[in-house]
Amino acid sequence: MPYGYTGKILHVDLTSGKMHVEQPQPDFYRRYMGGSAMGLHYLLRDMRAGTDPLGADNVLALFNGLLTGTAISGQSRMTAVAKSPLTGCIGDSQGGGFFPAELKFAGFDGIVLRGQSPRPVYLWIKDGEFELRDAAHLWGRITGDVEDALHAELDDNRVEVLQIGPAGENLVRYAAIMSMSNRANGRTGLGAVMGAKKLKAIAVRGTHKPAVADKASLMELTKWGAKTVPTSDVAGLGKYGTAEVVAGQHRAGGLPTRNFSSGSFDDWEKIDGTTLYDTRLKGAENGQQDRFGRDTCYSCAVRCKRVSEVAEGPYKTEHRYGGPEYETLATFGSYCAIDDLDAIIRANALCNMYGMDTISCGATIAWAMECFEKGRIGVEDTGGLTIRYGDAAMMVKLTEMIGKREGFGALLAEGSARAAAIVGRGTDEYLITSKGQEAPAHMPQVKRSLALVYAANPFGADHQSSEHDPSYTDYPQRMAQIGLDKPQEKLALNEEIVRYAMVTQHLYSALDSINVCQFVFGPAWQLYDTEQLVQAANAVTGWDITVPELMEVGERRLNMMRAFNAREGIGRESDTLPKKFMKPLAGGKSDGYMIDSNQFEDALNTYYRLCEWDAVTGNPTPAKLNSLGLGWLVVDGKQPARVKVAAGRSAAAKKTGAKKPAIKQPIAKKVAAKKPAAKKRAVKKPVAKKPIAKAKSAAKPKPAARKRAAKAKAVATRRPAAKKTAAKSKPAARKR
Amino acid sequence: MRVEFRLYGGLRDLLPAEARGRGELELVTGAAVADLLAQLGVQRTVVVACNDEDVPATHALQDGDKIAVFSAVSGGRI
Ligand code: SF4
Repeated sequence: MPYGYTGKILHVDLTSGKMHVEQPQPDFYRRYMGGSAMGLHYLLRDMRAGTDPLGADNVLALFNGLLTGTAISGQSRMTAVAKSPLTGCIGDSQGGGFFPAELKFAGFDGIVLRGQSPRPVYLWIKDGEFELRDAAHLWGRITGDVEDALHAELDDNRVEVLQIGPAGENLVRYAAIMSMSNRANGRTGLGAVMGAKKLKAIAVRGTHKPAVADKASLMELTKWGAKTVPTSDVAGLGKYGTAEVVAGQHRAGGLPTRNFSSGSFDDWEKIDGTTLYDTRLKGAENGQQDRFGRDTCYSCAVRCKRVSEVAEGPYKTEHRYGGPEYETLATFGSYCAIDDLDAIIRANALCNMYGMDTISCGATIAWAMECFEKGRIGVEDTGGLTIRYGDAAMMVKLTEMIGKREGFGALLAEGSARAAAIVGRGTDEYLITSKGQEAPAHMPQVKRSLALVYAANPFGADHQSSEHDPSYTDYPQRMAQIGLDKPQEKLALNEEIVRYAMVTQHLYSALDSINVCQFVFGPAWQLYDTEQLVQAANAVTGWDITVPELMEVGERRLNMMRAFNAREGIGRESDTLPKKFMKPLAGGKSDGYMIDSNQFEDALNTYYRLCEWDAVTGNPTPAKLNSLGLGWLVVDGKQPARVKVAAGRSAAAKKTGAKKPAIKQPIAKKVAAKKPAAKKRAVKKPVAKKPIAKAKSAAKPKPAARKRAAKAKAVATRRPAAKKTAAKSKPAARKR
Repeated sequence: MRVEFRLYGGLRDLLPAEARGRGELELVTGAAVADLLAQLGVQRTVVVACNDEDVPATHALQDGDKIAVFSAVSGGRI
């Protein structure tokens, strides 16, 4: 096992309650490094194409990273991957806080969750020991209550809790996985996957710091970062949060307003990061915001997280639910033409209580507002509600209705793309989705490389998957580290900008695999540059990786995601932009800006060529997969889209003896989707401390690796590396 | 000559809190944007607008100009 890692991955079958620990070989770690890429390995190996995202066969993988748990800033990150119930594509999202570091201290690099529990459970992990426990008494409760209950039940306030809220239980398609009641693995609806598995929470406590190969070098980088923050380009981010960017976005005509109809919001100052800091952060009344109104992730010197509160009034909100990020201020604010900061703080808190992605939630409400304004949705659809731009009270009401899947909220809980398909009447004209995921608050009309990335990103529109256009001009020395030295004019979408999009996408993809915070490590304005990231990774592991090797890890992960989609039959035809982006914006600095469809198609062709993907299908070619060590995804020399899938249960299910899943279809297909039956069980008397499945059940030796390899032949998604990375059966509950 | 300026976002902390990022400065004739930034103590990578037009650090200022300064990370460029 390399330094920095625990060398252990916990596998949990929620159907049978069986668990075991895998100890992969060192080359497994070097190939994927952690996070998203490591999780994707299991999804691609063990899942069939066509798996129901809300069924038992979806695999949910949670992985922290190479630096996680060390002292350097920006390292406590965890990526969740599974098939997305929002998009039907690969689902992927990152979150921070203290849970990722605590999971490493508790002895694990990641957790792979399969199956579906017959009743609500939570997973309790403490210093290498683990067990499933009954969670009936937690089901139906909001995040803050559950966190308190688990702290009391486990008699330790330092236990970190990763959980779903009621939205995840109710299978809201953009439900988030939450920690600290205010940090989210927000995007692509993976909270609903956890809800479908009836896994309410994972509680962890650990005391073992990861071993570091070169402590002196890592300490030097750590100290340099902490000392540099106040004079660095992330100083404002630390003090004012991501909300610092509201002014600049508005000025550039890039602050999405009225559901992306404009890039300019006249009342921007009311929702700006400085206003939030001056008036709503905890401690603002006596100038103590820096002490009480800012929070952090484990050992991060930037401290960018908001702690806001509303003391009284209709939007009264307690501070434990954090504070809005820029994205949230935009989606619940300018997207909806709302300038009421208290209402936005309340909506943010509701999302954190119920466990929902604030981007998809706010954007879906904005879509409903435009549909209502344009007469495509009426009171007969909304149950009598009048849903207009600027109505803060209605926005807050709808947010809660979505979390509860109540009334019109049940339709919006499906996400705007599904809702438009259900309603019809041309409501798709007002969508701002790519692959069914709502666009975040950075506008491709203004930053053209994002047009390409939003469309081609395997898990839908995303702003954290590449560096944005202005950085090419603003940070030339850092860009040169990754071979980018030809900055282009603003609004260009030529071959060099396509290359810029792809190269920075590879780097961001590596960041999500090494799993570090993209505010702390990155190619431009971040605290540490790319070469410093490589130095940190080598200091921790003792490896000798280079920038090109790092970039290849990112490219590998991106190709794995495309290969996953290809297996699902999702390729070029879904690399599209919403029609709305092809229409001119109105007002402000971006008045008249739009995406030219011909220019966009040309850029897409160039992108496939540079990625060495098939231009017709948009899928990775066998040659590309082979060159990245992903030959096991190629079957009979063909692209992954043509992979045949073995009938019956997955290899994983066969191995664990799991029964066929009881739920096969997406539960929430209709407007008035029923709540899952298990919700009723919440009223049952808790069996709080009785373990449902103890770790010792996993201590039995697993079938030998060669048996596994033999079974692997039965499924088309072969994995030549299987022998190397196969689980080494160990007594699972052994203390570290 | 005299110019009016506003420092947006976290850049406002270069001035006393009560200024809220706004102020005026007396500069020598022929001073450029870079001189203004140096006088204000701006060290971060920034986007500068003069009378609502994006300008480089070498841009020569005129009496009565209105300057807006954004940190590059926040956008601001048109
Ligand atoms: S910069 Fe912010 S989000 Fe990133 S690790 Fe630090 S505190 Fe967490």
